[in-house]
Amino acid sequence: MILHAVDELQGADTNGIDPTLQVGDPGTPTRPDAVEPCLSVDRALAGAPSHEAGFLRVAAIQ
Amino acid sequence: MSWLLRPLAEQAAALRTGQVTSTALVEEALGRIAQLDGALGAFLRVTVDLARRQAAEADRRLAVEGEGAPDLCGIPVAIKDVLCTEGVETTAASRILAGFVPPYTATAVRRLAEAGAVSLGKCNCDEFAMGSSTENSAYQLTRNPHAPDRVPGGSSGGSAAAVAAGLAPAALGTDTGGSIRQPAALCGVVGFKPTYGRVSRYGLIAFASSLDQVGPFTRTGGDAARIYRTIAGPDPRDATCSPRPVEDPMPTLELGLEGLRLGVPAEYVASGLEPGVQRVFEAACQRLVAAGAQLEPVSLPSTRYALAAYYVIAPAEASSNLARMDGLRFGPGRPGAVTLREQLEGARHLGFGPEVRRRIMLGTYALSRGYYDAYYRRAQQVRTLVAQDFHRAFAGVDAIIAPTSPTVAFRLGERLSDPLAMYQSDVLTVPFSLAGVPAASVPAGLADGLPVGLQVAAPAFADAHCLRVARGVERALGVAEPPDLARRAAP
Amino acid sequence: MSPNPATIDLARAVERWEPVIGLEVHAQCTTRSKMFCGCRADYAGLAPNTNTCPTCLGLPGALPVANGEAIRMTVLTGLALQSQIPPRSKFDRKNYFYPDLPKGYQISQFDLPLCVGGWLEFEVAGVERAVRITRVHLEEDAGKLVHPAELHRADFSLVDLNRAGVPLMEIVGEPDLRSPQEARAYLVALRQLLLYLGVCDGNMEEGSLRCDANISLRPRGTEALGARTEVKNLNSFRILQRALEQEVLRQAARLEAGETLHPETRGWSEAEATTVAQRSKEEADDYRYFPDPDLPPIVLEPAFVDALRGELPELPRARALRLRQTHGLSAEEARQLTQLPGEADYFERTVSAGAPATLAANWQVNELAGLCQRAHRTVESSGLPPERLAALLHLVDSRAVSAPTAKELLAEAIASGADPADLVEVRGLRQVSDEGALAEAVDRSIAAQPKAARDYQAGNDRALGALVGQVMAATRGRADARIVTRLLQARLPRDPGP
Repeated sequence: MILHAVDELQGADTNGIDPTLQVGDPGTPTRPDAVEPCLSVDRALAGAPSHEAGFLRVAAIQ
Repeated sequence: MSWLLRPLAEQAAALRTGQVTSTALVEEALGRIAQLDGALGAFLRVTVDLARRQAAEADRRLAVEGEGAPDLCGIPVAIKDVLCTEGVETTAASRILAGFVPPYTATAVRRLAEAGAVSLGKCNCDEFAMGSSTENSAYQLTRNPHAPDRVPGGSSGGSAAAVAAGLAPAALGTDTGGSIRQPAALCGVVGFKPTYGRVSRYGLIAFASSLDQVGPFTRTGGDAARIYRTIAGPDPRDATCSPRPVEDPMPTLELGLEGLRLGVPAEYVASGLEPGVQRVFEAACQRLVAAGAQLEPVSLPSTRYALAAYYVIAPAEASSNLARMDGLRFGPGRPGAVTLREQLEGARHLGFGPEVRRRIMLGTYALSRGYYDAYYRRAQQVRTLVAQDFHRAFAGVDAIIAPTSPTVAFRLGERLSDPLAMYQSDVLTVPFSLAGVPAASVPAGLADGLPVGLQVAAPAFADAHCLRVARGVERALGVAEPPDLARRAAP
Repeated sequence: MSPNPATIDLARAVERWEPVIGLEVHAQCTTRSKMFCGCRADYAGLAPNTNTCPTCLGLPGALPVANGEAIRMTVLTGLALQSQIPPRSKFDRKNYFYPDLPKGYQISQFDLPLCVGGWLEFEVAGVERAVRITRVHLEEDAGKLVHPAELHRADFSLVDLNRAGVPLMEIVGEPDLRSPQEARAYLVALRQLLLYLGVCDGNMEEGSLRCDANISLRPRGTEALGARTEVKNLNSFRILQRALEQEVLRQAARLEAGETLHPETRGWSEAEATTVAQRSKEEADDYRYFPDPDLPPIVLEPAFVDALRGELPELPRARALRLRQTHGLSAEEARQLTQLPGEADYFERTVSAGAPATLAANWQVNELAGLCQRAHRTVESSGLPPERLAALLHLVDSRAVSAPTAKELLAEAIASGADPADLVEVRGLRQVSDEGALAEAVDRSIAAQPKAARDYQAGNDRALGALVGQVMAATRGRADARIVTRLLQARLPRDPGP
């Protein structure tokens, strides 16, 4: 049903039109290569439902 | 009248003359929340202790810095629950994030805090900001302060309702396809979606990254400008946030509408508007002309495809953005799962509501091999066409005006089982989102006692200009009266 | 020595079947911080999950911002590989679920990589070869899954995200390699190039350089490609070559048995000394790539690329050629000295400190290299500055120190950090070249070994060795052996031949 609605798109004439990749200013905002403080392991894992010895614990991959 | 219903400038002045303290403002807000929010449901979480601490700190700062303190110092604000606050549970109104306490704060929230604003708590919204009625919240309903049997709009319905009911003089929301403007219209307050890239998205739990934008809900255009200039600006933590300096909207805010050419898109007023909305919009247009504006028809032909493009792009990005909700690093997860697949699928099955699941499916489909070009790529091409429409239109006019929503607030439950009807709520707001331009919704009057919003849009990065026009419209139409509920509440 | 039976099989197999091999190499950039956040890129030795932040943990709302230095390093690598650097590039999301991938997608590059095309020239057993480069792109690494060793039942896994988000360059080569030996030589040359550029530390043991290979066989003389096997995680030169050899044997045996091969993914099993089938990752069939909306497209201005081109250091092959032309080194010496940029630097500093080039090359390759290897050090970390080596070689060259003495001193210098030229003076080890001073010792040697003297005079050259030896012993090795030899020959004239 929703797919049918978005199929309206097929009616648009997009020949030769570039897809939008970016809405804002052009250019490449990058970060300087600088080390910043990390979270402590306690804070990093504070929300994890299961952890052990500093690791996240997950069910077996099967 | 309650301090909380007065413009921020008056509150700021009173805080500086000692007429009122931040602590008093915050206590009043907490009192009104206690009194009204049980029925309203605007807040998911009220951070009483934190608010009192911040208010005491703001009072100290006002005493020391006086006039030099930032204009928002001591002002209570409410925050949509998709914006992370360090140490405060932030759920995006989803079960999958129940108990998630971020170890960091969203840039927009941090900037308010640094200016001395006091955070009252986190507001309800549609789950992951997906919806137009706030009914998709996993936790509670929010009612429209003007009519308790109606929706506040969405997805930032809690923020809009909180401001409309005078529980907070200002609130932060987020707008992806209309999630600030539509609830602002339905609740009779001002909502402003800045240019994409003007406010950092760092700490905003993403729905659709190329569309999401943080913005204010306030009672007046002037108040919106004050919040906007505090939260806007470059942020090294968001690569999509513009490095351009922010133009202060305050100096030009009161310049009015005299001589401005306002474009009215033929496509938007042609059909699909409720008669009441149509009447209010037409009446408003006449008053704008009386205030010196010149109305001109403009054409935005590609916007007929905008909604379809939006409902491809936003779900596609969401399907990827929500992949991190796997119940491994945060959230309740899926206790007792034996296999990883059970753990993942269990967490997502328990955690996501039906609308979120629907959009993930739609987005996954739009990105999948064999369908990418027909859906995602094509939608992004349409987006280019929509942006070109606006570019052409803005060459001839100073701003574009349109109704914000084709309808007034609908009844709770009315569209819940009809996603397409729900999606239609965004038809007038989505094109501006796709183009990334700034757009505000200003109260335009009442239809059958329910608020109607008028949308004002300007070219990208002309946010100050957009706010000036919005303020001009507001002056021409008159600031909306708060709902009875807000006026009845004890001061 | 009997030939290894596997070698015979391999020789037989490649007589009939031609291997077609391509390598995909992942090189960890030597940036200080991760690809999209400020956590450390060098995670070695850190306790689990102590090198994370909201961004690399994939917490809701956290955003990536690209490390400009990693982009610079990748473009530099592309330039060294003669790649085209398109003016626009972008990051894409590669969507799949795995517990070591916190966001549920990897930020990578799909259809607009930073570097396109190019080639790498290298030598295999003296023959010039080249591999075309398909592309070089930049992506982020995943975390690490740890399977607790003490558990017999694998009912859970542990995840460490310290590595998640570390910048990786992926260097994809065309299937231009035709033998496992060639594949190894290509990887050696690629690693050498990365070390010269300073963009990767090349440590395969610790995983900063990783290699996947795809290989198929086709009947010699035909063009069509066979079904290819992807062999994952070939993390040493030895394993790369062995795994490919085993794969040649396995595929040849199956083809000769009339089987049809299908594309598959395999890994190297050290225990079984062969490749083993791997289950490919689930949902790996459709990654739903799309441009990452959190990261605006990368615009590379021509001025930026040109400036980087100017920063390219002298590359290994150019350097080897220059060493041969400037210093008259042999091809082999030049090759050995340019294996690592630090070694070539060391050589050139030794020469500019006054050492004769051929002597410096000879001593660095034949003496110093071995000493350093035994001490698990590089020439740079040997504790012997090139200026000190030059001073020692100057003494050798002017015959002030004998070669055996100099070798001993070199070993001692590596062991203790001492200055070998100082030791010569302190211990009085200067070579005795004064014929007058040596004449007495020569006479005594002849007197002490009359039989050796007679034997030499009778035509037995080897007998001279014993006589020289005694002089050397008497002077505690300080005598100039060539002068001693000349003096002995003068004292012991041989009968003119019949």
